[in-house]
Amino acid sequence: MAIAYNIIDIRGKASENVIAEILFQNKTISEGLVTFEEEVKNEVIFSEGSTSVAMQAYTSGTPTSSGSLNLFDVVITPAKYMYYQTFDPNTLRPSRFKRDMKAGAWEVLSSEFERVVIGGMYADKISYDAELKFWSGITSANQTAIAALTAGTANTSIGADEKTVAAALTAGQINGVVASMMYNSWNSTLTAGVGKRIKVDGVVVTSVNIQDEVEKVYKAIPAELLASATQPVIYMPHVNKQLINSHNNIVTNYKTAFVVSGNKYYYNDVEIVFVPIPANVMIAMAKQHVFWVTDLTSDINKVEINKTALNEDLMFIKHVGTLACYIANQQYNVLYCGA
Amino acid sequence: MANYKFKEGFEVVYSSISKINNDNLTDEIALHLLAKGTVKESDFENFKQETTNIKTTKKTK
Repeated sequence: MAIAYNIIDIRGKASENVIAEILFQNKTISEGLVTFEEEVKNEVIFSEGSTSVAMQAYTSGTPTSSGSLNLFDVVITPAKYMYYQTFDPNTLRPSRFKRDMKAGAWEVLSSEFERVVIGGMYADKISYDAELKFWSGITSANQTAIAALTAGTANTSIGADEKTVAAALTAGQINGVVASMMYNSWNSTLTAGVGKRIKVDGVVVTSVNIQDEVEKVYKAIPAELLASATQPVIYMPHVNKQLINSHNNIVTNYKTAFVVSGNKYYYNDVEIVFVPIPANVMIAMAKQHVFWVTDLTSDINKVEINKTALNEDLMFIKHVGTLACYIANQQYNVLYCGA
Repeated sequence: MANYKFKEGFEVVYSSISKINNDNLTDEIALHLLAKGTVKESDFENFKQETTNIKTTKKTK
């Protein structure tokens, strides 16, 4: 793929900066919004356990066993993906980027181009795209499986809102958090089916109704999770930040449950973080329950630039990574979907 | 093949990679979006005709 560049031949001065598009930063990694399971070359096994106990009357004779000790393992294999494109650096010869090309007809590499366009914009976009897929990715197999389920109101059924959200997602390489919460095989029998998440039916969220809708999420959080050391977080789509601020701007809503402190947002003391999930979707769960499974998280920052072949001057940019998500303690995680 | 079809160019956008348009619209989703008030009857092509067809199909069954 050629560089699409409407060049004005550089004659005099070029403005110092190349003006870049505005991107969301991958805060899932930079701010540690989830748990990272690293150095997974191929597979990782997650083990989950639960127990039940039963108090019984004492007997000096033979006691009866009661209660249970339950464990199961799940194997997660991250998908290996790549981003790859070629470009012709000769395209840049008349441009602003010629200013830092070395002298000599062979020399067409621009450190400014590498630093600003590839190391800056392109690498940042890869990082954000991986984050987007981590949260909102779905494989075509899971999308088909969810579409085939019969919608129902029970928590054991897929919701009509969930089906719509799943259908709306763009199929790709991995199942992200939203899709995995709806449908997975992470259970004691490893049987694929509706996830054990706590389902909350939603609506189209606006600045007017956002408190009512977040209240539904808050109320659905299991009390034992709120009381535990692993405090839940409410994951919201980026657009909800504006909805919350607009909501708080209405005089009659002053001092509502949304507290904004600097760039931190809270609802009833539960922290809100903004991630790339679809509008009208919210998730309440502990960071310790959602895993970013990969080889190295620093892979996300690595791109390779080189010639496509020794006898060519075309160059390639390539990024390789591995990624999967895993949701633990599913029965304590709230998934709100409106459509 | 869905009986319902959005008007040309109409789509419900949830994010950059999440949207409902004529490529992924099913009758079930169309009826759900109508019931929730996310879309209006006027967002569909030939809405009355398609509705009639669906009702007729259900009666036949």
